[in-house]
Amino acid sequence: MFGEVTNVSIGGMLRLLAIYHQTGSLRVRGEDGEGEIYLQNGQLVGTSKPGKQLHEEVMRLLLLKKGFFHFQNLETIPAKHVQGKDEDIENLIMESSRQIPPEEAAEYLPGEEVVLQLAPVAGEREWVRLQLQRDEWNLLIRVNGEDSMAMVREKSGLRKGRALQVLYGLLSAGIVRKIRFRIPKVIEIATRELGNLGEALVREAFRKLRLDQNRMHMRELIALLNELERNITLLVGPTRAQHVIGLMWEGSKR
Amino acid sequence: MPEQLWEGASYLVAIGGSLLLWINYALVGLIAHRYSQVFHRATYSTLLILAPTGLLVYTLFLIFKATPLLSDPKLASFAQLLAYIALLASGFFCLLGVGRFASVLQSVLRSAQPKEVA
Repeated sequence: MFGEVTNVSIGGMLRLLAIYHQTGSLRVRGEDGEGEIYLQNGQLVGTSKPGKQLHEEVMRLLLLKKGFFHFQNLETIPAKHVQGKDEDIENLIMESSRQIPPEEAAEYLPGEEVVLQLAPVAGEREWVRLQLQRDEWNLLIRVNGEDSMAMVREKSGLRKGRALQVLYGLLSAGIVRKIRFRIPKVIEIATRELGNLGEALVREAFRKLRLDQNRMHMRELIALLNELERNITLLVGPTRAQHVIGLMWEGSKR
Repeated sequence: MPEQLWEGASYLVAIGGSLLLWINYALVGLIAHRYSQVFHRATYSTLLILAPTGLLVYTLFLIFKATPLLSDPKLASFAQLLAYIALLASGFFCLLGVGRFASVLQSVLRSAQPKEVA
């Protein structure tokens, strides 16, 4: 697996490898240095500089700028590279985020219109030990699955640079994740616009397409809106149909 | 002469009215057909489209009555009876079709209401 650090942060990559219990070496080469991180079943066990503290060396690599990484699967990690064990990659990523320049953190962040939600913990760990600073916690509690990233940042009360660092850390560490779109309240919109007929049309479309309103993805939403547009056009005409579908699309945007 | 004029005018009005009624029912039939497409239920749209045909029969009778074709009083009376029977049958089937369509609509809209969970 090969990648460019400008597209994916090293922290994000490390977290993915941990989630999928990978064993192997993550080689990182950046503008100001290079090195390797070894993982055994998704756990950090060593680096290419055995003399240094595991934590310290991983932090150095996490902060490398502009470069490439390459992950190579290994059967097992050679004993000479094993320095210890660190399960809590999230804390390392959060720690690195505190040191990353805000403008660099901003480069990895998605657009500020994106909505964030708390992410479930992947893997089989029984305990998740998170060490957050007060301002990180205060920003985290603003993540509600409804507000855009810009709103979360503003509501947190943090200055912009620090908020960007925290957001970068929370996203890279997988503590929060992006919501790409939201399911619009199709029944409410249809009922408001077309009365009982609107509700009947939506429920019929759900029945026909065998969709569950609470478990829809973008593909299902598109199929639903196409079906609704066709049916509303048949019964009340294309102008109303376009208006209603337009409102539903608007409702799906964050 | 004025009497014939009045009669001709009344025929024209009756023909116009019948044709408009027929168009109305045909349109209701088309709407019902669309509902059956959307909700996948029988809305008796074919019945609604065909039922008003009796109105056309009645209209035809009025047209023929104004021509020498029905100058024989016996034939005219028989044709009139047939026309009125067609009109009656048409009215009955239209009523049946509309009633069925209305009940389908009601059930569609009723099923749209989510059931209360106790």
